[in-house]
Amino acid sequence: MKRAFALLRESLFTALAQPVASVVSIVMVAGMCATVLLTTGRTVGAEQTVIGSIDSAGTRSIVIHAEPGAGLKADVLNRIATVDGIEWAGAFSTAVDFTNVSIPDGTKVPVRLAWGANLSSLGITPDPALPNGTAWASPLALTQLGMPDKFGGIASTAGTNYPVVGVLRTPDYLTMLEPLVVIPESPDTHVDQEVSVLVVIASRPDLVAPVTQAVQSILAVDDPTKVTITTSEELATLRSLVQGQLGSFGNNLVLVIFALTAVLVAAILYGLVMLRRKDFGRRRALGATRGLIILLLLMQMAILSVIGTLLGTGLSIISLRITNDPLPSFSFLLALAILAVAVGIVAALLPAVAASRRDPLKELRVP
Amino acid sequence: MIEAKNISFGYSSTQLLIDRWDASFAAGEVVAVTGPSGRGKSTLLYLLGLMLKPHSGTVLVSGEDVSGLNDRNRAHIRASTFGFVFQDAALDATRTVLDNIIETALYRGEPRETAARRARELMDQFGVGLRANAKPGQVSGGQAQRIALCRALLNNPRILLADEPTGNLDPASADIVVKAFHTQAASGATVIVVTHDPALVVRCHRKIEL
Repeated sequence: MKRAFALLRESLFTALAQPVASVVSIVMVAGMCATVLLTTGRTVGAEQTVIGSIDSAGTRSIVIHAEPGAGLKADVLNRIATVDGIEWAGAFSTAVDFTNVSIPDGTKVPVRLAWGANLSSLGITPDPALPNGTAWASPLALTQLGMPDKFGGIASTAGTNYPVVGVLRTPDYLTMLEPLVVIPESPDTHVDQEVSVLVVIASRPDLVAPVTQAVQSILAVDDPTKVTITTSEELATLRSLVQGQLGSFGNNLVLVIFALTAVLVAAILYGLVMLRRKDFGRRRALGATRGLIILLLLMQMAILSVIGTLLGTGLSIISLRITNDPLPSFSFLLALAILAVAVGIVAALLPAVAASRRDPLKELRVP
Repeated sequence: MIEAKNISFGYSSTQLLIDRWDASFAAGEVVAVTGPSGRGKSTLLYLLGLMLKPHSGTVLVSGEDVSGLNDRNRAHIRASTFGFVFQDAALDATRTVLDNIIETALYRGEPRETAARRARELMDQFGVGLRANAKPGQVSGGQAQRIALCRALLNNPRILLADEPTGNLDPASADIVVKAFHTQAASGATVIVVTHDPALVVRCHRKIEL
């Protein structure tokens, strides 16, 4: 540990002792990071924003509408549970109009029974104290029901009552059901009841098509003509096109920038080694091994690269914020930082090896 | 202490600068190597100091053949067993005097604190104690050579090699350097000095003419 600290200290002091060369190296690496971030980084940020917009439109959703008499039962969820590549699935019964029990002449809001293994993702938590079922309403439904306190009761014209006990989080893929009020059913109750809407969310956009085929094959409906399937396959294709085009442009640009910077850093360091050849000759004469000379130069460049990366990344983020451009993700920034330091170290390898092979006798005779 | 047995070396493949040369240097003696320019005095010093490998023959330190060792082991011996004084002091102009003196500690793996303590003792001994934080460009030629001497003596070397150590010095500074060589030899070290300086030659125990 002490040895590592001593080497780090020596590398740091050597870097400090050559301020011009160190500043040039830092500026090179900072420039590399800034160039990547202000070009590819901006592109990646824009790509992530576009992809986010496409995703919010329901890139991975498969919606199956079943008319009355189609014969689509809630137990379809048990079969869907066996299909791979599905993140979420839920089934909803035909809507029945309900009103606020306190406002019998108020706005009628459609209420549906809901089945699903993961209804908690909608903000629903089971309440054992209310065994006959509870209603959960979206903010829009609560407004239409006239329940500003988000609690109350609803009643159907047939006289069925439910207490409203919570607020639903309506995800993008369920907005077509708004205003949404659901009565959660446990997965094994009323499974032979017909459902009118089945929503399946694939794990990834590229799985939409195969998952649709798989789900279609296990619907087990009585009348397929009364079933309509709507998928986001076209959106998924658009998504992959956007990702592919922007991704490949960004990757190529990053490669070119990194390669150019590596060559420039290597050239600068090689020039520096030539200027300091007497220094390396003296070190070799006094007992430094070739490996130690290489290690010292690589550590020196690693220190300068870290400083350059922090500087370039920091300034670029400030610049992107000022211009209101989208920022790339943290993982992109982290990958860029690691790559930038690696490029600095790799670029220093050849000059370091050249430095380690200087002939002490020859170099000590340099005037 | 150190022996050269039948060593040959040349910078070109056709002409040998040193041809089947034998010599033995005992512990406790200060030996001057003299001769006209271009006869290979410095080259001989670097061969003995393991910075060059002889084309043939062997260099023995305490009876052990070290000339055939790999670069890593020869570097280790240079850092631990040898001390070097070069003609122009060869100090790092970008580092402080103290950092220059303790440079070899890094190569030996010696802790900086221990080396710095010993370096300060040597600097006081050679009258440069007050220049620890100065840069080499801020000291005189005589002081620079004394600083180089401190660096060479830091590891209390068993073999001290000096290449024209008094070439650029005034008589008073040269006297300090020569006395240091004799002190080191008296402690059991071997001191080999390449020099043109007759005043230095006469103060050595023995002279080898190339």
